[in-house]
Amino acid sequence: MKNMHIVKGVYYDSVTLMLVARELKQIEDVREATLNIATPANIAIMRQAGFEIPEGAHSPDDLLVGLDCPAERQQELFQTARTWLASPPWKKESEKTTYQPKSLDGALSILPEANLALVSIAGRYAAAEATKALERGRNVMLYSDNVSLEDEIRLKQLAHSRGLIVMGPDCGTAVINGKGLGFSNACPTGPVGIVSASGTGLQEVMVQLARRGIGVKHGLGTGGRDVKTEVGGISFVDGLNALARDPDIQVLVAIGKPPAAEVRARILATMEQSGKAGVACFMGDRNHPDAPPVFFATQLEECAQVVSVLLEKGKQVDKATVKQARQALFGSYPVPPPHERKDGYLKGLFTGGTLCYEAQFMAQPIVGPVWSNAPLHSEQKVQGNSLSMAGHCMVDYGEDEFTQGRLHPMIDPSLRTERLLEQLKDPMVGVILFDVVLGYGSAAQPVDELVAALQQAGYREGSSFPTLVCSICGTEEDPQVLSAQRTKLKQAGVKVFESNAAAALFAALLAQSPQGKEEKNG
Amino acid sequence: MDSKHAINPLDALLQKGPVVVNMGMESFFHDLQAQEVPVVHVQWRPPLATQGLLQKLQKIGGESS
Repeated sequence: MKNMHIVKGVYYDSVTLMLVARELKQIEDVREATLNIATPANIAIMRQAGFEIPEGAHSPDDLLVGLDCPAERQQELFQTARTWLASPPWKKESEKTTYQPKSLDGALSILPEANLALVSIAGRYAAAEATKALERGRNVMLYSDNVSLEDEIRLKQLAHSRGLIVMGPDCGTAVINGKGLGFSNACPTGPVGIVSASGTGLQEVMVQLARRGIGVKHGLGTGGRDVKTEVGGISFVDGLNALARDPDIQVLVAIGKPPAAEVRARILATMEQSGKAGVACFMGDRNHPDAPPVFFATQLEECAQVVSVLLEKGKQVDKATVKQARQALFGSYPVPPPHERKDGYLKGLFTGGTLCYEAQFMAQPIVGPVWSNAPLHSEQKVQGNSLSMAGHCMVDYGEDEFTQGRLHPMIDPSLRTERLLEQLKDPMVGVILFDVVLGYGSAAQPVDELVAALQQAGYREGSSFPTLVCSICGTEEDPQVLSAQRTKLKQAGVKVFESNAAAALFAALLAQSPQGKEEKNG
Repeated sequence: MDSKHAINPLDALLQKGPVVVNMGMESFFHDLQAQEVPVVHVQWRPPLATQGLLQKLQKIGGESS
């Protein structure tokens, strides 16, 4: 029996809600347990899962507890959920008794030397807390999304006027002095400094650099909107200038989706004046020929490849050498043999927004238009459930429409897994492409649920199922251990790549026009 | 001005490394601890004005199932 319990006016962070739901599902008799903040998006998802939620009378300050279990156990299990929310059983006793301040000022009285506030509370409260931190002279990393553009501009102007930085809103990743904040991989520290308007873009470049034995000292995030005209690249330019002043940094890197023209000009001028070699990776942007000391990359692994050449050859590197290094990289990407090609659409399901964007950029020249909720071109935009439409599609499950009051899919990939399994059964689908992002902040076991479901569905490589292609962004030193995740996926029959660009190219080359199927089905 | 005091707070962050007040997801606090970053976690709750309103709503609506 599916029943909905509503608790009014409570606050728990999304990770706690996910962990309580996971513990409840371990109990015999519990077929489903789901705990969510009552945002419109969550209400829609829970209704779709068969839970009846009455109209109205809910606010995002309410908690929805959905339980699918025998009627006689509903109240008992609901009470169990509340007990665990109040006192999580997985917490050590020492953690439960350690004093935790209730406010920023309380925290600063305990740790007055704090120089950064990491804010990941609900977006509607985040700007106020970020303002307090700035007024108290602290830098801010604003992980929260759903913060207004007006608040973002105000916060960044305030930070700039005081020599501080606001990384975000919607900034998932930063690395400072080799220490990762938010979603970050265990990578070596070294002579590279990065400013990125893209969280997973920063992670992928750091991982690709680590594969080449190169470390990053600082990786500053800005949030994606920073490079729009309205914000004007305030944090991006302040970040680049700060990295330029660091004598340990030899190469400056700028990463993001293509910025507004005037912001791009400010970024490039800052890099040129820095006195350091630089690589600008504005994904998909082919408009700029290399102009030493600044070189350009159109995708993330290429960015790492160019950085490695600059470090190896020094500032005097010539354009021909960089061009050769690019060609060597592109020439190394695997191409599927003709007999492996699949008749059907290419569907991409991503937890990393920039990885989704990069995959579209790699695939579109091969397969034609790719539709998405976060498309390359606005005319190819469709709403969240675009996977169900006829055509090649890629969905970013980290977009606001999926994350209001809900965990980011890199922490809780269950919705993505559910949708991926639906695609597996669709006869019009030829190839399914997806990402797995490891590191601090990400799910402890990011592929277990998917691998178990694939085994249950009888999936095997080379069968009539769509071909599964995956990229893993991670290192051997990450908490999830790259090789362990790779082995699980390979054993499940998934084709695994350690570069998102290479995976996307391979998947696009596998996907054939589904014309034949349309004729057969229609 | 003493050059020690002239350093701006962003440069100071990059030179010293992060010392963090974490507000929100507790998992980020644990990840920072695992990397030996000095960090304090705030048991953050929505501001009182909202809570007062919620308490009134609670009285009217109560808990339902």
